Amino acid sequence: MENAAIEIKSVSKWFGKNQVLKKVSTTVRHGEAVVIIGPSGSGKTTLLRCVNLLEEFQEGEILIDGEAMGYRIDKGRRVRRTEAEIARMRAQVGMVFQSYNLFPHMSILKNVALGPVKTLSLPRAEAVERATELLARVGLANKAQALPGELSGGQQQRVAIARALAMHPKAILFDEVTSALDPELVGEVLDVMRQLVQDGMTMMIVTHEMAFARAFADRIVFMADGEIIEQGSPEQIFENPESERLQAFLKRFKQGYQM
Amino acid sequence: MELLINSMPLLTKGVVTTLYLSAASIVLATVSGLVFALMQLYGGIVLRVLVETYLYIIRGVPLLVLLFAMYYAAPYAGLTIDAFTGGIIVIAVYFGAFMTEVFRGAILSVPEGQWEAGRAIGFVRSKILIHIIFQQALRVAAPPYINTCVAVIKGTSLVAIIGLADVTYIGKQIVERTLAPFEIFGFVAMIYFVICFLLSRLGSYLEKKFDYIN
Repeated sequence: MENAAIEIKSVSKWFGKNQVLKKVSTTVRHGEAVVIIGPSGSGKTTLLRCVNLLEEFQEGEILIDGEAMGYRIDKGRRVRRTEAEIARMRAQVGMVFQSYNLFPHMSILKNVALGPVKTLSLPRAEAVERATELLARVGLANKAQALPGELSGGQQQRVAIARALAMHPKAILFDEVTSALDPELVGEVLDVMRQLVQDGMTMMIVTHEMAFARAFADRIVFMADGEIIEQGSPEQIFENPESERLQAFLKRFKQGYQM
Repeated sequence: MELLINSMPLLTKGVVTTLYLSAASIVLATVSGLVFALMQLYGGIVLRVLVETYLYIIRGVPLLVLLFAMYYAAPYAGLTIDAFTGGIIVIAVYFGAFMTEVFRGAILSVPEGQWEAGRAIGFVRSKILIHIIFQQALRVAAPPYINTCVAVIKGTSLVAIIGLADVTYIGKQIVERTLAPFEIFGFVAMIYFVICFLLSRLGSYLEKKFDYIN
């Protein structure tokens, strides 16, 4: 498909005998912000991690800007790409993790600059300049020399977003990035993400933050039991849910926590 | 006391030998430990089995027996080796096994998320190891590494039994001649203690230095 940053074609994955992804297909176009919602165990995080091959998938194809991720078809048979090829493609898709995963032994500036220097082979000065700019963009310019351990969760997550942006990726994957944060820190991270959406970054987001999804997603995908049950615009999904499954899921969210 | 002072030149030679044996064995054991740990973790099934076989054998045989085997049995196998070089090799091979475990455990202790973050910025495995994992693993490895080095230093004393003139051997010679065990062996013990104590202090210093959490 033209203009597709990420194409997921009929992807299936098994953990042993348990099928966790069942012929899942969807597309994320350039500049689109797609949010995946669903109950736990629906496979949404697994699907996200298949896109940059942190999880393997046994069937189907995932195309990053038209190029097949992880596997090639060689004479009709599925062949795994080399480690170098996979690494090159991974560099095109940034990822922000639920547990931030910053490198604790280096300053946040170096955290952000490391990828550009070692993977993109940018000269150190240029990488540092880019990193400084990005840290300013996420509101942490004055903490450039701090170690990750000295920062709050919300600050660390913003550094993680800067680190992903530093690679000039074609798309960024967000894996429940606010789920591990104290509630009062969630907002500062969502602010940065909102800005990215408005700047036209291609994003694939797994989240439980329904208000964010409703306000800023271009498209919402609802998954359950390893399948896409329904997808559409935020209006369609939240105002006119068609499937019973989605209706039940949204009902639980509207009701909130019940004793 | 006068005896001790008169024995100083001899004992000093012994201390130098002990230090040399220890340093050489530590260097060899460290390098081989690192290489074998990486082989065991990332070398594929053949290398892994080879390394694990080596580890099982070493863990099952006392260092003294290995030293005897080298010294007495090696000539029968056609290997001519002097006790000094042979001693270093045997001690390095023996403690190399412990070093392998130290490094392997340290590398494995680094959280999986660090690997994933490295992959996400396009690093291949070797790059992740060098730039992300290694320094974090060093912090974990420091205490057991220093402990193993201390064990090496004490282990070198066994070469006395195959007639190598380290400080233990020299001490024993002097005592047999002079029948003054307390002064001489007391001094020898103190030498080992000082060396090992200083090494442990170095270890504590390194631990603090690597502690980026603070």
